[in-house]
Amino acid sequence: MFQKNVLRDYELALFVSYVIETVELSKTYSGGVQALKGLNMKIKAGESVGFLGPNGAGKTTTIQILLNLIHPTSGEVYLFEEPMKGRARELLSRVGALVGEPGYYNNLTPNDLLEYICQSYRMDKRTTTLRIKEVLEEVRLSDVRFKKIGTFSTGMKRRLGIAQVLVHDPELIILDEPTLGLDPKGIREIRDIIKGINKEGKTIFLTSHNLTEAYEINQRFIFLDKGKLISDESIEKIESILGESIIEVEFYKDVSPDKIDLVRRISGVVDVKKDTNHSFILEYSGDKKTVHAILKEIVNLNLPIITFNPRHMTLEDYYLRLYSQNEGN
Amino acid sequence: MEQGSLLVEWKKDAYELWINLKFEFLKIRRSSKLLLAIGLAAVLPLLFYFIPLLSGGGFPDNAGDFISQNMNFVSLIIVFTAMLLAGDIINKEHSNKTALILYPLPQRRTNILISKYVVSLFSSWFALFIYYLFTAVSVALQYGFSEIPEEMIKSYLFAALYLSAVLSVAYFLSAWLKSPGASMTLTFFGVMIFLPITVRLLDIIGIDSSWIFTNYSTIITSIFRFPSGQFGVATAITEDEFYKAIKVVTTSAIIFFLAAFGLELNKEA
Ligand SMILES: Nc1ncnc2c1ncn2[C@@H]1O[C@H](COP(=O)(O)OP(=O)(O)O)[C@@H](O)[C@H]1O
Ligand SMILES: [Mg+2]
Repeated sequence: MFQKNVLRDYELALFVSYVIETVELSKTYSGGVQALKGLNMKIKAGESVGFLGPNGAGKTTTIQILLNLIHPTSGEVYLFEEPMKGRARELLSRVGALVGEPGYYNNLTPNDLLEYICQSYRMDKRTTTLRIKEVLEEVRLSDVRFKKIGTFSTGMKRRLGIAQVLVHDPELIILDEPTLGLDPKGIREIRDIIKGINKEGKTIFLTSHNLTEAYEINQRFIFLDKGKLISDESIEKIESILGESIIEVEFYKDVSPDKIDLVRRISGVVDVKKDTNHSFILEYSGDKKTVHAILKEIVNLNLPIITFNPRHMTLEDYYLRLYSQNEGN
Repeated sequence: MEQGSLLVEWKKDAYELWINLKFEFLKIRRSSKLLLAIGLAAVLPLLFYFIPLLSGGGFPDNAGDFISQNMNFVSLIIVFTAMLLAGDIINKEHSNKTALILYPLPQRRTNILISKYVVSLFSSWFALFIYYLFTAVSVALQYGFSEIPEEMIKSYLFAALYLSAVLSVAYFLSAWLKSPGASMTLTFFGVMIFLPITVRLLDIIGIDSSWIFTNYSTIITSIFRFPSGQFGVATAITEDEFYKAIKVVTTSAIIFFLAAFGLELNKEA
């Protein structure tokens, strides 16, 4: 017993160090918009976290607070287990971040910009030259190192953004919707670069409104809605959910909650969840016979059914289900 | 211990100032603005020399009159330079979203803001210097080298001080207003029209307006007429008035600079 406790303390002290911790973080903008409502989360060193939510959920707000760009209305931020207040300069030197869609100085070259950034992180001349070369190769911008950024495409600028995040070899990497507004090829390029970073064991905190994207990159998923954390899942949990059998059912008009309750009581049906307008997701356990029996029952109930589609749960289903459950709140 | 860490902090700030001065200078050098300011400062005196020369329109009898005619436009040069080099220096970082790169870097905003001011100040002093240089050169070409009045140095120094105040106004407006276009326009009209009108109105209703710095723009040219009244009619300005001018203009430069600072340090994003 004693032994066990010692080990746990030992573990705590040496292995579990939190890179990001927010405590009851709230932000109300001057216009009155409550962008964050008491966000609590802890990110461990080495974790790769997808911070998900629809537009307006509060993702960018969270990141701007983490980077000391805006101040929370209440609550605390800890980076590397140190309170942010008054120590931003020291703590941010260990972070690389791409926020929103930053602008670039059109008359400067990637080399000019990265040199300045390296200097601000106090890197010496030799390391600076070496790292700029390395990182531009990593994002495949070596051949435009001395070209003006003003001539770059959106995709190139975004890759430069990633270079700027990586150039000082930060412990924590924060990326805010890094593929937003890019064409499919650009998206592919950025995702591949980020997956490369992932392998290096750095802590990654990436926001996205796209679970498929985060699923490809991250191992843990924090879901945010209307400024609140609504779910926090590991990749294992999501993988197990993906195996689940569901039936997508669509009606051509509104169906009352009482009727839906009747559906819920059909044998084999585990749960019924509203998907979109007149669509529902039925979770069931059983085989094809069960599916057939469920269909017969629904028809017997005389519901205005037009679609009945048994399949496995997809990431999109999961995402929609999560957010439609939270709708009423 | 306390002193040691203070020294460390001071060293960090000095370093940040240095890299930001270099970066701001690089930005201004790569943009067309500095070139435009210097270009105008050079072209105006050249026009006043070459147009009469080529058209045979003739020159005034003495260097003093020539200078006072040319220097009528010095306040235009000053406002134009300040507007160009500082009128959007802060809000442009926000409207172009470059602040999203600049501000998360591990450095104090103070150091970035000081660097911005210092670089635009020195650049604008340089543009003004070019204006005086070209004016002096055209005097030398027309009237001889010895005819260049030594008051030019004093005039330049006062003009540079006056320019600092105008630049602070531009800097302040760029921190206060969101739109770069608006802050640049307001810099120009504010200094050229609104402040002088305010002065006039205050004078009419009998309220002291001597604390408004635009009162003193005329000293830049009237310096040439004192103390001896050598050129044209002497509109003598007393030592006391001159020192008051220096005090008001310097104070304005500092106040607008600090106000901009306060605004930007408390700004979110
Ligand atoms: N500067 C701001 N002023 C006022 N409201 C804002 C500001 N920035 C964001 N908001 C609002 O805060 C909410 C959260 O926005 P944001 O954090 O950008 O969400 P996300 O990044 O998840 O799309 C939205 O309702 C948005 O309109
Ligand atoms: Mg966002």
